[in-house]
Amino acid sequence: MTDRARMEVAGSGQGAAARDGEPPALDQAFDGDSLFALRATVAAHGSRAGLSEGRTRDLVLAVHELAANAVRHGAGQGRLRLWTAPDRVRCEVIDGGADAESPGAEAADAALWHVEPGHGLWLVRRIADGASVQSDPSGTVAAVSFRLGTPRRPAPFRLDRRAEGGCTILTVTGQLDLGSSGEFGAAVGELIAAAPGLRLVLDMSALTWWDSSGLAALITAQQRISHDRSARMIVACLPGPLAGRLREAGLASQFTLADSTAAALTALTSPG
Amino acid sequence: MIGVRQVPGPRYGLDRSADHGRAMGWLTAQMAACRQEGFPGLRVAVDMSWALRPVTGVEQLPEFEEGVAAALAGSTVSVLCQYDRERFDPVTLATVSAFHTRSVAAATYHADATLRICRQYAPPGIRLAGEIDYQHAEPLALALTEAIRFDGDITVNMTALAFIDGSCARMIVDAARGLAEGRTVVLHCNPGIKATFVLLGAGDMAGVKLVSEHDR
Repeated sequence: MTDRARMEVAGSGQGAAARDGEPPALDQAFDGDSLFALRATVAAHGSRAGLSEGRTRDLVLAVHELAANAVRHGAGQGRLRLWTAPDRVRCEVIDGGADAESPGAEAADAALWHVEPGHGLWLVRRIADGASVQSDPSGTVAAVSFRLGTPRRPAPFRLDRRAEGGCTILTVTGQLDLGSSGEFGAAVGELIAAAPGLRLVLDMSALTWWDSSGLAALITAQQRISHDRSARMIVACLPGPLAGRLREAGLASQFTLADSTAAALTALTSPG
Repeated sequence: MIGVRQVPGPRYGLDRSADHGRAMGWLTAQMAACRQEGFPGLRVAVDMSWALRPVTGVEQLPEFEEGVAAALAGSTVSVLCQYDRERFDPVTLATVSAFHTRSVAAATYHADATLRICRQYAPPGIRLAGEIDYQHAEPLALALTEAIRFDGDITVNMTALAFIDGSCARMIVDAARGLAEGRTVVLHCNPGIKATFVLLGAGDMAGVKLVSEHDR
């Protein structure tokens, strides 16, 4: 692959210094020798902020990939800043530290951060709820955010299945995550095994959020359906923000989406 | 002169009391055969997993080991007893280690407080435990290279791996992809790291089998 995706936003005025005044909950320098400690610290903060177990793991992986990128392909060191807001956890990984002590050549090199598929950002895009990279002369700042669930107790995970017009509708309620994705995978597996040529509608209207395990379970379900050439699956009523996540993760093309279960049923039962 | 031959070992079956005696009889016969053919010595490797089978049982182990130690005394025969560290408990291993003149750990590619990479005998492959990132790519690459030299399917046991970063996950997937057609790499994950492999596309890759405790 010769095509390099290079991301730089020069002179945007949104460098490391220009952040919304709030002091970070965590501000920690790192280099190649301290990534283990960085991961442990980020896990503790993510968990304390209210992220689920699966989402905390995702946060740790995302931050690690960005920090490792700064160590391996940037200045060799950097800083992590972490904020917790009521609705999200946000992290910035600043390549080279971007402080007044090392404004020299290192920071200038870091301003051009080549983002290649092998360099971790691709994975970060798939797991974080938001990801961005900005460069200006003071350094490169990569930011990720992870959404926190509603403070109210979320709806417990539930699967309901019903048959309609020769199709099976599987309604997913609650969080599709590390804790529930096994049950979801098993249910889809049973449906596939029971009916060759399965026509499956996943009704996602009551899905609250997912983590990387939930997203992986959806991908796996689609792959298993695709193995049976006569089987089909449509993901219906996916809440807008999650549909957006799917597009940003570059995964939307792997699925067939529909706005309603009725539309999904029509698509599955119409000839051709 | 060195001769290598694969001899079917004694079968451990239903008759508990006979097992230990039969194994010793087999070993003595092999020793005699080698002497007769003029070989100066004999080396035997034994996979000790048989002792985990319900009908034979770990309780026979000390007796077996004691018998072997007695038979070997003063001879030029050496027996290598292979114990799988994941399947035998530490107490049993400590008990039987007394009968051995020497003990060797399984091929270990890396071992420190945060990460252990070692060979796994059954099923054949490698085992990773702890946390791994790009800084340990070198021992991982060596372990994978050696595992690939085994025949047949290989397993990368990651059930005790708490963290794996994108670059190591990719290295494992690439190694699996490079394997000859007809061979399979089983990626045995815990649920927490399985998603990373799915997101890297390993779920739909020829020659790669992704399993975790979730799966039935």
